[in-house]
Amino acid sequence: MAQPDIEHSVSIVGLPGSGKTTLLAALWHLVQTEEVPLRLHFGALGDGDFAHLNAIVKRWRSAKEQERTKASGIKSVSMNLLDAAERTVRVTFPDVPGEEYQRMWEDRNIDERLAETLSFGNVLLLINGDTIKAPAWVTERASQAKAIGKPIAKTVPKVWHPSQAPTQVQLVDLLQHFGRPPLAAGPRRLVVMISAWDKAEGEQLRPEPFLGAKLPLLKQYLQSNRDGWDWRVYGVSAQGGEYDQIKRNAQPRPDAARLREIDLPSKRIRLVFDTTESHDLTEPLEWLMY
Amino acid sequence: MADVLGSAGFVVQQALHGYGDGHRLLAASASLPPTDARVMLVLSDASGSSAEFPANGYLTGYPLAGSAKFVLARTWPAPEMSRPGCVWTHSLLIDFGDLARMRSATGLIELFRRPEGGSRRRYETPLKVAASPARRLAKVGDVGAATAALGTLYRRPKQKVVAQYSDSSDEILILAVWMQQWPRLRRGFRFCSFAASDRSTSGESFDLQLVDRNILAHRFRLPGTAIASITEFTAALEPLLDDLLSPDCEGLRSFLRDVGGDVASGRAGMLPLTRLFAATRSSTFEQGDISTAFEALDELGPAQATQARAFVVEQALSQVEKLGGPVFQLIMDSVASTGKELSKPLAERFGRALWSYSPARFAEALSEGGVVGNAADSSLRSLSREDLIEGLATFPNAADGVLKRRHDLLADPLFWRLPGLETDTLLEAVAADPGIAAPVLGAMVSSGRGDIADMAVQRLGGARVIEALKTAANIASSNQLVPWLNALAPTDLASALAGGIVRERSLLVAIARTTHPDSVPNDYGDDPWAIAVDGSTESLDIEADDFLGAFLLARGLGHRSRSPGRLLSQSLERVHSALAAGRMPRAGWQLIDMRLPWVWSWFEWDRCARVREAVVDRFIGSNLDPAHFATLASEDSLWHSLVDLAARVGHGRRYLQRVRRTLTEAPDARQRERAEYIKECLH
Repeated sequence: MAQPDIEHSVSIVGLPGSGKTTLLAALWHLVQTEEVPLRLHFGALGDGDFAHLNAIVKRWRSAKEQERTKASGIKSVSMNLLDAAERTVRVTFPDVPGEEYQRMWEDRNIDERLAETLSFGNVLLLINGDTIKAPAWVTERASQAKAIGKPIAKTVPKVWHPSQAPTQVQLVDLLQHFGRPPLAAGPRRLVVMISAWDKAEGEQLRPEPFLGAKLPLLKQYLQSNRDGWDWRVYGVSAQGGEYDQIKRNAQPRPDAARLREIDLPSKRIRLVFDTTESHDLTEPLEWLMY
Repeated sequence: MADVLGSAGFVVQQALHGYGDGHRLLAASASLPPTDARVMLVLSDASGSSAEFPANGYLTGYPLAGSAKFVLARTWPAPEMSRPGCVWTHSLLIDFGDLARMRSATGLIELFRRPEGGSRRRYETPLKVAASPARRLAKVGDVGAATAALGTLYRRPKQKVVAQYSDSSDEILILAVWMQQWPRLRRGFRFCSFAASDRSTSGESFDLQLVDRNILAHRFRLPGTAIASITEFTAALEPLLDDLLSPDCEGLRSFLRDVGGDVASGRAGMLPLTRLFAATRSSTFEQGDISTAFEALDELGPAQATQARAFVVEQALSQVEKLGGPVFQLIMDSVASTGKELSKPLAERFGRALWSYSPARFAEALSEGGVVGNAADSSLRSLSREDLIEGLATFPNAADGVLKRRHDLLADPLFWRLPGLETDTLLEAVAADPGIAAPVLGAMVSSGRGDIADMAVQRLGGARVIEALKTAANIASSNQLVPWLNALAPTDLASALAGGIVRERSLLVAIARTTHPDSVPNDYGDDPWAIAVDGSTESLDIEADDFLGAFLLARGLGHRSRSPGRLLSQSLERVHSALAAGRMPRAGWQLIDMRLPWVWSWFEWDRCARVREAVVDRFIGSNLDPAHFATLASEDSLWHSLVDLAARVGHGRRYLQRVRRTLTEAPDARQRERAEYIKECLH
């Protein structure tokens, strides 16, 4: 394989259930099929676990849910893409279980190989817009309970665990790690992708305001520019709706059937940046590379 | 047989992993170091994607080196969870020490519980493993699968082994294989009873994984991976298969437990240990079995299996007398390397066998000491002289070490016939111990080692040699005595004869045959020969006595002796009788003949007459003691003839007067009759 003109690594970072594998599968489908216009075109296969990639894209095309990525290891794939100037860009995507990033927050620990991977390249941070764990105000909860006539239950104090921290706290901590050894590599570009956008857009907010509303701490961190992030916010629905579950005897979902009916599966994908919308997942990639 | 040693059972820690905003540790009865926690997090997750896991879950076993614990875990699919691919894993953490003592995994299997409901508290306290579980695990039923698993695991010890998953009964096979292993192997054995992908990491390979048939074809045909196959099985593993199907039926797993402690080669050690077991179980345990046993030990490596090595040596030593050649050398090297002293009876047997195997090596061991040297030393006293001498014949250099403890060898004539002896050194040692001189010299003489006679006389003295010759003369041939007698100085002989030391007629004869009648000096006192002969008794050897008589006669007729008359009176009658009977040995006549005066040849035939005349002339000419003349012959006719001869000449007649006076004064009547005869003769 010819040496690429430019080498890039884009780390898709996110907590468990943030949609990393689904995004990768959708991206791979886009690049392989080029059913829709793309900023980056397919050049050639690179190195990596293509059996894994093919397995997840097959599931995606069938509108079936992805299995969670097992904790057993980091699978990495790379692909050579061509930019508008026909330059070869090799992009490497480590498909990392969300538990690894969770460990960075909870255990203050990181796998050596993951550290090596994250110590260079730019970052695509995925946040599931449907499962954001927001902080709760005790006074709010109390007044809500009173409003609906529900008695306030006497709770038993329990030991706090890092997993109970709000999502934005975990994410800010995660991003701060990139500014410190062993991951520090100077200023980087960051794409924040709010996944499951089809669910989140009900808030009637564009992606960046959505970030400010739901994850204010994260937005403040990014705006403060303490760690030199050059950042953008996108909304993405890599599935376009709810996919079928893969467990046995699961009831089919109407959304999945509808999505399978779409002629070009690439059109299931929705990428929202500010007020523009497209199907092209390579756009944020291109921005990350230059 | 109890499933677990000891009546109290033992305690295990436990942990529960499952999905809670990511796959994580949900509950545990103990905390773990971060590295081990990480390993558990990874291996408690599903064994792969897109697989139909068994509803009852699957087992995973692996060690946590940092915590010195072994994890046996059961993983169940968790379809009730929101995300696909979630699992529950209940892990039991077994201390290595407890794992070593376990005979069966039944007690562990019974403890697994899939979480139900939200409570995790039951996983936060340690669990007790029952000493006697309520039920036993079923026996291994699929002989084919067992054969394939054992063959591939132990003939391809460096490879990851994968086998086709059949059903949940595969767990029985895996657990049986695991429990069969000796503790050290067991605690490093990684296995999974249902793997949808290879669970090995870069640092730690899984030894055995059972895989769905469809996945096996695609994902597991990788370098370093061996698919379990019956073709890998070999006859040498038969005892292992028998043991797997019927635990410890022949004692194999007990043997593995006993000797596997210092076998660090992992699965590679199983085949040689099984071979070793088979070899040492032979009822006869012959040379071939021992060779096989040592070959197996060599496969394990020199620093491995010291207990097994000690076991083989012990077995071999029980038949040490039958060992030979290279096998004995192997045993000897092993005995030396263990450094453990043998019991006294065994040490003696071993030492004797060592002597038989190689006297050179025996001598080396004696000088080097150690276990082998001590065994050699302890056996020296019990080795027979014959065996020792036979061995020394092949390696005379061993004599030095052997003689330090076995002086008695010096008293054996066979010893002195050994080639290459350092005689000078040996004689010095004998000289330093006068008590052994006599038997040693006797052995030297009997051995025919005339070549060392001079040296022996020089080192030990003539008196000691003569003392030895007194005994040796009865058993040694005259040829054997000659060099010794020749080595003696005449003065030594004189002292011995005069001192009455030599009374044995045979020795006197031997000396007479070896020396000249005039060689023994007589510078003072009575003649040594006369004294010695008086103290001895006639032997049954007529020829020998005749010769001795001739010797004494010849000496008496000579001029060395100060007691010629006594000598002549001791010998004349014997000599005369022998000559008359024609039985005088030629050597004896030669001695006499040289003393007799010349006669015309036609008178030579009458030897008796010549002797009579010579004797009479000697008495008369030298004026010998008339008392001796009076007793010159007991037979009257002979004595009368002597008197008649003497009376022919005038100085003879005067001499006879003196004899007559001596006889007249004798109290004996017979002697007075002889006096009368002389009187008549003179008239």
